[in-house]
Formats: sequence, structure tokens, C-alpha cells
Amino acid sequence: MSYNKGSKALTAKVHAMYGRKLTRQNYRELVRKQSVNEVAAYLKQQTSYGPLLREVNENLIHRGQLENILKRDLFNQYMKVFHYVSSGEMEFYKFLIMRMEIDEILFCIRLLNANREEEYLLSLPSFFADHASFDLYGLAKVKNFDDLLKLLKPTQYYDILKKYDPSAGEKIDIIRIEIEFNKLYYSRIFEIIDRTFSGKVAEQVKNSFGMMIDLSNITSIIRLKKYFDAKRDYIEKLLLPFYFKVKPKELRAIMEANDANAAWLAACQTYYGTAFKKYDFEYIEKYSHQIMYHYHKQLLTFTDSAPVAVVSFLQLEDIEIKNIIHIIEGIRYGLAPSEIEKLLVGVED
Amino acid sequence: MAIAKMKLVNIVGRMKDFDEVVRKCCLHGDFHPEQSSAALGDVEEFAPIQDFNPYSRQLQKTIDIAVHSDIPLGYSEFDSLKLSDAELEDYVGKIESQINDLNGKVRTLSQEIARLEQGIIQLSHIKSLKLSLDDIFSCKFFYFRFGRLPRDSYPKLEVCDEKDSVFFFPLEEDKEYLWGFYVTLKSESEKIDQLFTSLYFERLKILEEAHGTPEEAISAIKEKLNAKTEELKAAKEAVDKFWEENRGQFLKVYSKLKYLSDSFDLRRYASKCGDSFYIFGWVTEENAEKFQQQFQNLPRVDCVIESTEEAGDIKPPTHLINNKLTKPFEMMTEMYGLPAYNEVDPTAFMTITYMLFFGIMFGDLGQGLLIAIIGAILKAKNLLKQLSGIFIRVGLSSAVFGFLYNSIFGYEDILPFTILPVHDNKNVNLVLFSAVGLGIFTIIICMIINMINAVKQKRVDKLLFDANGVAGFVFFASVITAAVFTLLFNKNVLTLPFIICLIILPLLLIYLKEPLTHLIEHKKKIIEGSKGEFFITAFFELFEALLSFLSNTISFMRIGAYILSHGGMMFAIFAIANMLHGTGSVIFLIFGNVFVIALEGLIVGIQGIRLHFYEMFSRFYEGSGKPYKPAKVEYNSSK
Repeated sequence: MSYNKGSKALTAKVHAMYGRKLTRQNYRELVRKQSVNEVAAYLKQQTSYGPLLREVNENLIHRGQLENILKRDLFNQYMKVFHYVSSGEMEFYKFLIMRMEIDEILFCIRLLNANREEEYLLSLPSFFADHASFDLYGLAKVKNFDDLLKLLKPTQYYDILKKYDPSAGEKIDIIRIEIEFNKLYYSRIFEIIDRTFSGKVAEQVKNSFGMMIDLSNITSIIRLKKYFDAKRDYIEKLLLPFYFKVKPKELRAIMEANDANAAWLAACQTYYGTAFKKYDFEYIEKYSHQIMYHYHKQLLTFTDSAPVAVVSFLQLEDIEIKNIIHIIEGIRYGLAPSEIEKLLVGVED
Repeated sequence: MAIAKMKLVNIVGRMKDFDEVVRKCCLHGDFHPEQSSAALGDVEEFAPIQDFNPYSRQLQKTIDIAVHSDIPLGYSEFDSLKLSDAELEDYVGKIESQINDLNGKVRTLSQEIARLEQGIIQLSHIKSLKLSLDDIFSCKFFYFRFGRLPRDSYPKLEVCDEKDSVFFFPLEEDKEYLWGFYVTLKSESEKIDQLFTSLYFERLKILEEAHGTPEEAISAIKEKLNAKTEELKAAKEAVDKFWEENRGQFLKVYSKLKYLSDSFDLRRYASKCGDSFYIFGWVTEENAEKFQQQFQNLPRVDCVIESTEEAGDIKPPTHLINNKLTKPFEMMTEMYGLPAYNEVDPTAFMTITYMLFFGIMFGDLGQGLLIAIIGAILKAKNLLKQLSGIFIRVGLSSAVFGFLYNSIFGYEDILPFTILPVHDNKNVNLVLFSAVGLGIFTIIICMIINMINAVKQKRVDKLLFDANGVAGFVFFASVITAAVFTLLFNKNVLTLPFIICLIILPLLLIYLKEPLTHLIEHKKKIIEGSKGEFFITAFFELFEALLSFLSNTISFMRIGAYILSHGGMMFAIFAIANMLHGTGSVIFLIFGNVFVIALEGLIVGIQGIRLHFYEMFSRFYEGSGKPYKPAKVEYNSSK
């Protein structure tokens, strides 16, 4: 067991950081704001985001800027974690860096497909540039797939990208690339977990990633069934080949269901069934986030294992930032407060 | 006698003297006006006077001016002020326009100063620029923009497509932003402005006054700022000077307007009939003559002073007069209700009993003195005016009983003797019975006061047949006597004549109160409504009266219980203190004493009020009086 004082301190630190979350009351008031400026002013004056936004002029702030500040804050919090980590475990805690690298590359590819690659620069997370394994500003200069290949040649992502080099004039197959990247991401993580931790800690950490995989797979299947009426052969290729609480047999049953509704019922037979049954089949994406939120919250509350706490904390923080972004977008598009509230995760009960 | 005697005042006169009369009514602040229509009732010829108050607008203006200029409003002698109504209006208008001009200058200058200060703050962010702003802004081909760029955006400039056509020069940095300017060709300005907007650049507006380098501009603007500050100072001084010169006259005008306006408001109490007016109200007996004399030089005005009986149904207002000892307790009687004019003011009685009960329940020489000292300090600081007086009184009472109990901050062995050993375990029953005894005595006094009230109000029924009248008194006293004889002297006095005459007969009288009253008053109908209903209601009323005798008497046992609980709490605190050692023990004793004073002091205080309101006042006190509110001009209020 790799339990040490540093690990206890980190767990405590994470719990303390989590204590500054937005409350349901905060959300209730936020969704009723009339403009992004009012949201910024509220966050500045009424929440723990105050010091973060102190210098910001809430009358001038833009959505992208606010989003950027929030993401940077999450990243800074994550960097604080490293003070408590022993060198032996450091490799594991860098999982978020890999996740962010993948997300940035995928975003860049999406913009390439849409011929809007010049926009990448504006949303580029400058705070991350020093930590990425490749030149992040280089991504802003990418004009085509060859540029991208050239930039990422020294990285672990090159081999995957090379396989999906599109022939002239065709779009890049982003779906396949995303799946391959995710496979790479999770196998690397599990590999590191096995190397770094042992016993119960290793199992718990694997489970918290495993849950994300399980839920992501179930959601993918039901979505594919619902929108494309996809068959098992097609779906199988788009799933992550890892199994945790959902057995391969159960997953097959969901895939082989006749339609989305049947798939939903099959999903309700799995480990996550009790949680699924609480929700309506209509909004599977939101509910899988909801389930994720509750699992992570529960894990964070009860765990005394630092890596589990960190993983859950980062997930919950991510959900909070997404919630704030949903609120801002909702307000921008003039949605009613009750409509915006429906988009938020972990707020309703 | 603690309720001031009142006299009825009727004033009749010609309308031409009316203004003079209402003003005189206001002058000394002792005339309590009544709605004259209430007295005139069905005399149709009289109509209420409802005129528009011509002074209210001007008065409101003076108040607005004073509030805005922070001039405390107050009375200023205005007899010497010889201004007609029109002149008053002119004066107010003049003052208003003058002060508005002066204040307008102050406001404009303050805004200008704020603008310059903001400009300096902004310029100070680009202070390190050694170029002349004039040169920069007069460039023919180059385009400049000052402002701040989020730190996150800065590195992006290095990689953007436009990187060769724009330069950003940071001049100052803070945690979130880089302050500086960007420069580009005028022909590119639109595109570059767009780029910077998307990088969340916030533009900084350079003041028109800024010339030369920012450093030079700052010092030039500072000079201007200083000049403006001087101007502002002068403008403020002008305001002060204005008030120095005009304050005296202004307050005189205000006082006069206030007087005219408030006395004008008194008109709504009056009625008129043709060319005559009628107004009536109350003055205290001692001021009546003085009040009447005011009108002697108005030959056509009659001011008639009459006794309260002449007022018929209109009850005189209650004006409590209490001495220094009892004054603070007015608060508690008023909480229950103001005594009616022909009712005994229970304040004096309550002062004695409340102090007595509090002292008995919370007897401690040290703690009592402490409460008294706290009260004295509060009084000296003019805080909690009435409550502080009560603190002093109950504190001293508590100290006296503490002396009798030999209890000083819970220590019971400091004095060499104990006059009343109430905390002795052997005396528990004696303490409780004595408390009940005190209760019986108090209830009897309450019944006596009720009978006095009955006499004052000339109500035979209340005097003779009430549960708190003679009948109730005889019954209660007899039962108590019988009980005392039986319990203490082991002697049965309950003979048949005793039972019939002193117990059953009084009960019967109470039961038949209503018909007996009607009989005495020679009313035609002896029982109103159905007989069955009467007998049942009367039975329940009697039952309730009997029950309240029992419950009210037993309720006084709480006085004894609190003596014991006080001893018990101090005992507990000493026990815990003894378990601790040294300073810990001392600190706990101090804490314990503070705790007991705060908690028990509060509980005992509340119990005292409870005993008075439920057990005592309900027996004799109606509290249906209306307060004495003489018409006077409130010069200090801003309403």
C-alpha cells in the first residue's frame, strides 16, 4: 500500500478545495441573471470565485474570457495537487495533462474539418502551454493535417494520427481518432495505475475511471441506436474495449437490443440500473453525467485514498465549470431559468 | 393619585378669531383635542372644517432644504419675525434657488474631480511610456490604442496571423492583465481592433487634457485637479458661509411655518356653523386656569372649563403621573394597557410587588448589586432608558434579599448570621407555603383595588357581586381562614352557618350577578335572553372564577420554587468549580455567576411580569384608557 502522510494531506486538501463549490442556492440565483456581466458580478461578489475575478471588470467581460479564467482556475487547482505528491506517484497524477492534450488536438482537428482553423488561437489555453508535451502555440499555426502530423511527430499521438491521414479533399475521421485516443488514454492510465498503486487503492482508482468508461459506452450505444438505428457490428467498433461493472455479456445485450428503448431497458439491468431507472430515457447524455456526478460525489465524500479523491474532484470541478458555461449560454440565448436549470448537472436534488 | 385630573374645555367663537384660537391651543402643549363632531353628534348645523393647509408646501420645502444641507431642524424663537404669508413664501423660494445654485457648483466640481482622478489612475498604468501622447495621437500613418490585455492572450499575439502588422508594448503588469498599447498602421486598424477585441483587450480612454508624456500629463492633470479641489473647497465654503449667514433666519422661518402648519392641522378637530366655530378637548386640572386666561383678550371667544362628567360618553384621556421610584415601571403597565381615566393606576402597586417578587426569587447581595450597577451604567450612558431604571430597582431589591438570605455571589457563609435561611433543606416546605401565603395576600390586595375601582366607576355590580368584589372577597377570605385554622391550629371552623353564610351565599351572589344587578338598576327585564342559556353561562363563569382562585393562588408557589432553583444553580456551579483547580476554578465561578445572572435574571424577570399580568392585573385592571396626547408643535421632527 502506498499510503503515506502526503497522501492523507492530499485527501484533506482536496476535501477542502471541494468545500468551495457553488451551492444549489448559488445556481438558483445564477440562472436568473440577465446577462453574462451579471453572472460575472455574482460570481465575483457571492462565491469563492471572488478573488479569481477581482481584477476583472464585470461590465466588459466576454463569455470566452470568463470560461478561460474558470478553466485556468481548475488547472491551477490541479497544479496545487502536485505539492503533495511523491515523485513515485507523480506519473499518475499527470493524467489530466494527457486528457487536456487530447482534447486540444481533437478541437484543432474539428476546426480543420470546418475550415475554421484560425479560430483555434483565440480559445487556446495559454496557461497550459508550459505543461503540454508539444508546442501548443504550434497547434494555432496548423493549417492542414500534414502540419498537424509534423507538429506531433515526437509524441505518442503520432502513430494514431498517421493511420487516419485523409486522402486529398476528404474530411478527417475524427470519430475514429477520438476513440483511438481514448483507448490510448485509458490503457496508459491503467498501465500507470498498476505500476504505481497496489491492492485496494489500485482497484478503487481503476474503478473510478472504469465507471466513466462504462457510462460512456452505455451512452454511446443508446445514442447510436436512437439516432442511427445502428447494429451491433457497427457499434462495437466505436466502444472502448474495457469492462468494469458492466460485463461484456451485458454490454452485448444492450447492443443487440432492437431499438433505443429496449437498449435502455437492457441498461437498466446492469450495475447502474438503479441509477438509470431514476431518470427518463429521453436525455441519456445528461443522465449519464448526472450518475457520474453522484458517484464521484459519493466517492469523494467517503474515500480516504488520495488518487481517488483527486480524480473525483477534477470530474466534479469540470461539471461545475460546464454548468456555469451552460448558464452563460442559456442566458445568452434567452432561455427561461427553468430551461437552463434542466441543463445543469447535480443541481436538482 | 397617579392619574392626572382632567378638565373639559369648550371653546366657541367667531370664525375671524379661529386662527388665533387654534394657535393658542398649540402654544403650551397641554390641550388634548377631541373630534368636535363626536360631541356635537346629531347637531346638523355644525360641519367639520376641512381646509387645505396652505403652509404644508412651504414647510416641506424648508424641510427638504434642511435635510439636504444637513441642517438640524429645531425651534427658533420667531416672535420677532414680521413676515406675511406671502413674504414667507418668497423667502423660502429665494433660499431654495440660492442653495440650489451653490450645491450645483459643488456637485459639478465633485464630478469633474472624480473624472480627473479616474484619468490619473488610468494614466498611471502607462506611466513608464516616455513618448509624448500628442506625438502618438498625431501620427499620420500609425494607429495607437491604450488599454489592458489579459495575460492569457499575450502569448497568442506571437502566433497570430497578424503578428507582423501589430506590436503590443506592455508598460505595466498585474496578476491578470498587461497594461500598455498596441500600434499598427491606420489602414490595418479595423482588422487589428477586431483581433484585440477577440483577445479581450479592454480599451482605456485617455483624457482630452492629457498632453506630453503620460508622466507629464499626470502632473498637468494633477495641477488641474488641485485647482479644482481648491475650487470645490471654496464652493463648499460658500455653502457654509451661506448657512452661517442665513441659518438663524431660516430656522425662524421654519419654526414659524411649522407652527402655522401644525396649528392649522388642528382645524380638523373643529366644527363650524355659519360664522361660529366650536372646538373642545381636555387640559390637565392644574393647567386649566392658565389655559383659559389665554383667551381673555379675545372678547368674542368663550372658553368654558367644565368637569369630566359633562363630557357624557367621551372618556377623558389618561395622563400618568408617577414619581421617580415608580416611573420606570410605567413601561410594564403600558405593555398591558393604559389605565382608564377612572381606574387606579397600578404602576405604584406594581413597583412594590415587582421589586418584592424579583428580590425574593433572585436574592443575592453580590449579583443584585451587579445588576444595579449595570443598570446605573446603562442609565448614565442613556441606553435602554426605562429598562435601566428597572435594573437598578430590582438589583437593589435582590441585594436586600441577598443580605437576608446571606447569599453573596452564591457564597452562603460570608456573613456571620443568616436572617432568612431559605436555602436550608429543612425549610423547603416552609418556603413554598410562604410563597403561597404571599400570593393569597397579593390576591386579596388586588380584590380590594378592584372594589376601589368599582366605587370610582360607580358600578354596584362590580363592587358587590363580582368574583373580585365583596362576594368574591368574602368567599376567598373564608375559605382561606378555614384552611388556615384546620391546617395550622387543627381547629375545624366549618360549621353549618359558616358554610352557608360565608361560602355558599357569596357563591350564589356571584352566580346571580346579572339578575341582581338588573334588579338594583330597576331594569324591566331581569334576565336578558333565554333562562337556560343564562344559567349555563353563569355556571361556567362561576366555575372559571373558582378555578382561577385556585390556580392563581398556587401559581405563586413559583416564587418559592425560584428561590430554591437559584440556590440549586449556584450549588451546581460551586460543585463544578470545586472539581477544577486554581485559576480554572475562579474562571468558572465568574462564568457561572454571569451565566446565572443572565439566565435566571431573565427567567425571574419574565416570571414577575407573568404573575402581574395573569394572576394580578386580571383581577382589577382593564387597561382601556386612551393616552393623553396634547396638541403641540414638534419642531425637531422632519415630518
